[in-house]
Amino acid sequence: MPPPLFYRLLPVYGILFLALVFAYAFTDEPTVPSPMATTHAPAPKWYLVRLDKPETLSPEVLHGRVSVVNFFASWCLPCVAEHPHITALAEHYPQVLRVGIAYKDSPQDAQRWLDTHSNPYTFVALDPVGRNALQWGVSGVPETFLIDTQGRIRYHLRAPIDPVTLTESLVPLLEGLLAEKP
Amino acid sequence: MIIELGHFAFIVALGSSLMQVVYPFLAGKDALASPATTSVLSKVADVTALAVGLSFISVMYGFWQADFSIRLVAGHGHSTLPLLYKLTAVWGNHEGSMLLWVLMLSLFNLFICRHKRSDETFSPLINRAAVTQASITCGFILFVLLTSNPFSRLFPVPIEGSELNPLLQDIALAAHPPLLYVGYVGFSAIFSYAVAALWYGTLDKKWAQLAKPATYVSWGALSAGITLGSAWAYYELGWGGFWFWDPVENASLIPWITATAFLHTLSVFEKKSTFPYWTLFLALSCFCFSMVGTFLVRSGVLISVHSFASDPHRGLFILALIATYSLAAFMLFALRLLQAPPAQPFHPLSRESAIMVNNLLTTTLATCIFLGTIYPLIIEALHAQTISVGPPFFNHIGGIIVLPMLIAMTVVPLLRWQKTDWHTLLPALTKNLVVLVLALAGMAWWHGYTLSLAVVVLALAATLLLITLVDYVTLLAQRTTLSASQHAMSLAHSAFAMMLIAAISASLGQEEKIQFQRLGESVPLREWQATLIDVRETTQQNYISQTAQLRFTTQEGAYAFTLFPEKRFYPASQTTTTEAAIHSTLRGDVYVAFDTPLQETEPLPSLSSSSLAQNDVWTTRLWFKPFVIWIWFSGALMVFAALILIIKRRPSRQSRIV
Repeated sequence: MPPPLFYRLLPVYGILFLALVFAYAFTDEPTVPSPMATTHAPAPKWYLVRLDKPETLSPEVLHGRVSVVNFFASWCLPCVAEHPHITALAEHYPQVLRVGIAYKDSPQDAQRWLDTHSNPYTFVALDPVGRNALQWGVSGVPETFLIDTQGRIRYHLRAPIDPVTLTESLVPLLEGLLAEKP
Repeated sequence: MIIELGHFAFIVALGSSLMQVVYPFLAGKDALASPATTSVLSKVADVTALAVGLSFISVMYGFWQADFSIRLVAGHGHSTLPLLYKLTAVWGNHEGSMLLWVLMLSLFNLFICRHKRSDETFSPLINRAAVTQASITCGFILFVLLTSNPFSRLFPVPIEGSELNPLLQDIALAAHPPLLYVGYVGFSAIFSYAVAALWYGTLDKKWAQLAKPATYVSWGALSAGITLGSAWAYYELGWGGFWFWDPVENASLIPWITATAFLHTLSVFEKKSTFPYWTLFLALSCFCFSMVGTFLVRSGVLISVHSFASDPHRGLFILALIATYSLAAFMLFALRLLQAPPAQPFHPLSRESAIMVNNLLTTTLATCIFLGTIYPLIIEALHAQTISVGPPFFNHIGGIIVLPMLIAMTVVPLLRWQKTDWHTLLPALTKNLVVLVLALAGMAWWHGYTLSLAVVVLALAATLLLITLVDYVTLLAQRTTLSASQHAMSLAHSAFAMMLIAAISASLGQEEKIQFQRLGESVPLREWQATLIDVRETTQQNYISQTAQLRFTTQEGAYAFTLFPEKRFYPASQTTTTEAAIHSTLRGDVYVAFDTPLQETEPLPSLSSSSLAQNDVWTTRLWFKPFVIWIWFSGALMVFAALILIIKRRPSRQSRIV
């Protein structure tokens, strides 16, 4: 006697569940919340070498200013796609500090990449082995953080910036942060 | 021009496989059962295979000619690549490897249409299997054409290509994907046969005869592919490991484990007509797991959260494809009731039940590894944090499940079919128990009087190896005529035990030395002194090589051997690879890799590593890893066991041990 139909359909339920999980993982990636952004955690302490001169860059440069911290790399294709949006941000909000951190990249490659695509950043720093990225909770590139005047992380985007996230999340949040006077 | 012909041939293949799907339905009422249909279908299958073969060759020709007007060649080829890697570069990327997958599908389609077609009684099954296989081929051809077209041109034409990933420029890894794909896609034939059985509504010995060759070929090829991949990771990545429980590795291991379970049920089903549904369930699962494995690897969904963001269509398309095939098959499985020959009843203490127990354990193991691999995805989808499941989970779960599995494998040869008497079993069982206690004592002593899960697994594996080998040698010495499956079973079971012993020992008993070493400085490793003699730089065809010379002497100063680890820099793709140097003996490997020193605080950009090299300081990593060579040997032995089954298949009634 074969088992009832309900049980014989068990593999089907499993496959349906997995297909849903996979489809979800594909389409809904950027909404995975970052624990850092939800708790308004202070930005990690960081001391990095600047790309343009042999000088270190520390959290003090952000002090009292709204800033965008963007992890990028010359070997990263989605970074090229989001580059125009960062440039647009730089043009519309010159008062916002833009820190680009070159993730697992060589200084020569990063410089060449910025030369080809133009440099929208106020400062560019190097994170050659990704140790700093680890502290920020970055799992790949590109990822973007919004920091408020108190030096706290207010937003963490784990995906390239696209027109939708730019207009629907990034710009309204940035306006809000700029309105919050210390 | 050639590539356009290839593109055209590929579209022809789509047409001919579509025709193979619909022909039996248009050809008349009883066409599905008729041998005439089989001969038409096999002609259509010839056309499909020929067309896909031509399009594959056209892409290969593009790589050979370094024709950078082809987008794929520009992205993955380079004019300075050695000829072999120019050709193998075809499958070193997504589009090309999917093309290879389709090529394999069409070849197995050809096999289905031709195998046993002279016997008319097989026609109803063959026709149905051919329709199923052709429908799978159609789906994947569409996938290649619509989302990953390897034939598309690029304008403007670049002057130089961006090279095959240097890590893949290696003999073992050139052969690895084709072998793996023979395995993966071979399961599609088994899947098609299983669907045919469900569709036709009967499952009998005939079905087992149809499914056996494809099973052995794909199991053997997958074993070879996994072993090669593991060997490659061992000597190429320079980390001294041979298995990392990486999603990509798991993706090939899960179908292999499932196929191993299927192999056993299939042979029991052929002999005793037991477990018909279970046999079909495993037959369907093998291919579903290999499709999911390919999906996980190809979509990059597990490797990086960002890599597929640029092209979600590709992932969704293949996901829909897999979901459709597996849902359709398992719906059929749930709804169709089979007419199977009556199964012979068996006692709980019998060979059937021992094999059944092991089957359940094997399936559990595959499921656990699968869940461990995709767990991070599920958790992320449920909006919790991102997590990763690491080797400790897999090692622990593996150990716990392998434990009873080894016991059952040791006992199986003592059991008889249908029913075994306690009284006849007891003396042999006592003998096994004595061997086990001795092995346990020996292993515990060897690992410093500790008793851990690993030590118990080691002891059980040693017992299995000893008993299997002693029995096998005794039978050979008595000049008993053994059937192919008995040879294969003894060899494969010994190989399995040997692999476990070697892999666990290599991890438990390894000795590791990582240090900064100056030229002329010596470092002790076990009974040797390793002296760094010099580091030389040379230019090769497509890379610049730095080769270190490490001289090993015994503690007394007598010369033992010299190793030449290498670092290669590939200018075209700006990548550095590590070529470890290995001195292999039966007792263990001396494994050496070297690097330019990495400092704790990152040096300023102006301070490049070359100035440190001028101080003649290098990071050297020396390992002694016991028994590693036996892992590759066991893998080869498993492939050999499969070859015996493929080449020399005697009817099972000749078997003398019942």
